[in-house]
Amino acid sequence: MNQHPRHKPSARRISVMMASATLFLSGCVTTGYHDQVSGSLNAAKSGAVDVALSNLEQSNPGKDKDLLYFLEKGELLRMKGSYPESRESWLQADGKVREWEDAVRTDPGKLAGDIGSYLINDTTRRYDGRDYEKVMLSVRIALDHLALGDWGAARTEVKKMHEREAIIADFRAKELDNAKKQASDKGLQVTSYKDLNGYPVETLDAPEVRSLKNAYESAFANYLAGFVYEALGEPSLAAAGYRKAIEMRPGEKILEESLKGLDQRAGQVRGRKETGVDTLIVVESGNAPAIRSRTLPIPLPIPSRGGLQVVMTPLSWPVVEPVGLDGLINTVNLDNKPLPISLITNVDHMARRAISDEMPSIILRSSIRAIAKGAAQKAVQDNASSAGMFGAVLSIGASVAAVVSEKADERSWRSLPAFYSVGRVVLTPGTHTLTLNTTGGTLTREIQVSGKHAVVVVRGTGNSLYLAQTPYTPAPSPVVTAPEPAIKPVARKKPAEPIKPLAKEGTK
Amino acid sequence: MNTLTKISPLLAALALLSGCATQSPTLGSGNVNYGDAKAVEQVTNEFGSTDLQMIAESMARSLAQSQAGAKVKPLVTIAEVKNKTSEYIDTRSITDSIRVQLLKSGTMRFATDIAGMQNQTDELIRQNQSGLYKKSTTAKTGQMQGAKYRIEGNITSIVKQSSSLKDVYYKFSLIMTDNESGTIEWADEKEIRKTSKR
Repeated sequence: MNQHPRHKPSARRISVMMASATLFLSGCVTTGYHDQVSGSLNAAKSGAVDVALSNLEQSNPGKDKDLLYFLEKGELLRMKGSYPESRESWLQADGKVREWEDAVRTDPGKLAGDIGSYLINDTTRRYDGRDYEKVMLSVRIALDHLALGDWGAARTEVKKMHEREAIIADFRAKELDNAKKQASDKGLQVTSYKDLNGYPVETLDAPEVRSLKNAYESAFANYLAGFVYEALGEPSLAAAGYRKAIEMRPGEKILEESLKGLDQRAGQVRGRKETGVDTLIVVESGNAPAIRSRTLPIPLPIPSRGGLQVVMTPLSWPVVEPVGLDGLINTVNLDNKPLPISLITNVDHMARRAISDEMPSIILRSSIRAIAKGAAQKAVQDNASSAGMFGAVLSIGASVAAVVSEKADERSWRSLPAFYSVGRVVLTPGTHTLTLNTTGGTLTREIQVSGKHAVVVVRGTGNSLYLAQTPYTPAPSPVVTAPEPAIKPVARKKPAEPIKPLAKEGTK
Repeated sequence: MNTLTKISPLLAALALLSGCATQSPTLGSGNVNYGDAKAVEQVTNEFGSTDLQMIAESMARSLAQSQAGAKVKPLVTIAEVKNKTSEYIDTRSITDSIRVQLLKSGTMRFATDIAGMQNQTDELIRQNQSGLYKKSTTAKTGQMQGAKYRIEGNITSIVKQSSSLKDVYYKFSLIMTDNESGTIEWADEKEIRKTSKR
């Protein structure tokens, strides 16, 4: 030691720097996302949407808003009935998802290996939304378009949704291949959540989760797509939507009858038969599940003086808190008669499937991060003894920081409805009464339908029930509409012929 | 020399202006490229642009051949092509392409189909009932021609998938029926097989 007097301060300096860096980085740990958003969710549950929006703004004071802010805001504004503003917020979120899509198209490897999450934890990664959230965003925007009466824009959004699903499928396949290869290269023993001792495997391994084709396609999204295509007179595309929905929820009578009766309904529309308003009633309830961070140790090859040593290292893992069916609305009456509805999509299952699909990559990132931290800790401990009391403090600090900075990504779109049930009925144009049994008791809403097709969406959360529906036109607008003259014609001798309705013309 | 000195600025200005006139402006970073719309697309094995073009060309050719030697161009309408697959395939886009090719080749005439009927009747009503048009120029109602034949069909698929292989088989069938007699006057089908490995 005396032979190299300069080595001591140098090693100490290195260890101080490393420990300081670790302590500094641990300071990046964010508070749980649920604490941040719970105020807004609770306010929305009690019907105070303005308070919910205000809470959301307070939780997001910064200038640069992230994806989740726009997702939650869009949902709250939809509850409030501010559809243009809700759509605007969701389109901002959509812009962020499209950035992710562009990155997937150009450099998927970069996304798979985000440097930030290798160093600290997944919460440092830019939140791009979970797979089901990206697709559900398109569904929600389509519903806003429908609430504003823009069926054409809803069709565009539905088509965008199909394209988005294809991009996600491609990305996940590549990401999984990458995770498998890297795990093998680094000699990792644990590559599946099933190998994590203490992990609630049953949440991800449940039959209802495993039976899903993937984490992002849903029967509701496809059924809605089918309905929009049908309303726009495109039965060939509508058939695909209904067929896909049936594949995802086989045996559901409503879905099967929609496909079975498609040709007949299309014929009636073509023949201009007055059959009433084909009304899709969507009942949304509950909130998407929370994702919590849970710390569990895994064996990792950590560098030591004698080479690599397998050390049990505590790491954090995302765990989905399953949503109970307490908030599910399953009894609906229409004009005092029971309306059959079917639960066709459960976001709780989709969220669990998403985490299940993400786990190989999460395990890879966490393991690489832990190995790097282990090496840093070892460097601190090796030099701590020579630094006396200060070194001991640093050593403890580095160990604490290594654990504290570990936190799984808890972010998720919490205001997204958890359950989607649908009913379909032909109604006479006009006002009808919808009665629902919710957690807040029996609640009634008046709905109004007109035209050939209508969509009515009721959203139950807590004690509140929010209604959204396609715009109502009191009297069916005549087929012929003459533009109003901007300037009154001067001294017309003969008044213009009155506009005759189509039916009268046809009798000629 | 003196003259040249005088006119040289003019020539330069002309050259500059002509340069402005002929050069097309280029906007953007240059990351966007135009490709050949007819190029073979093999991005995934889902239904794509090449499949659409192959089906439309094959069917249009077959239909045109069936009318070879006919003295009168038959009036035809396109009914629905049913999508019996689980894929979102816009079958109207396929029939639109078939119709374009047959009209270009001058083999057939087409009556307004069901999808276009709403616009057709709306226009007739607008011209006849709005009071905005000269009577002598309005299209008369009751003069639309009924099609002699109707074309309809369906597209089906069989998808087989293993852990490493995906095989998709498409069959596009089209028939032409005489509306009066109900007899099928022409039928053809186009098969496509696409296989991809993971």
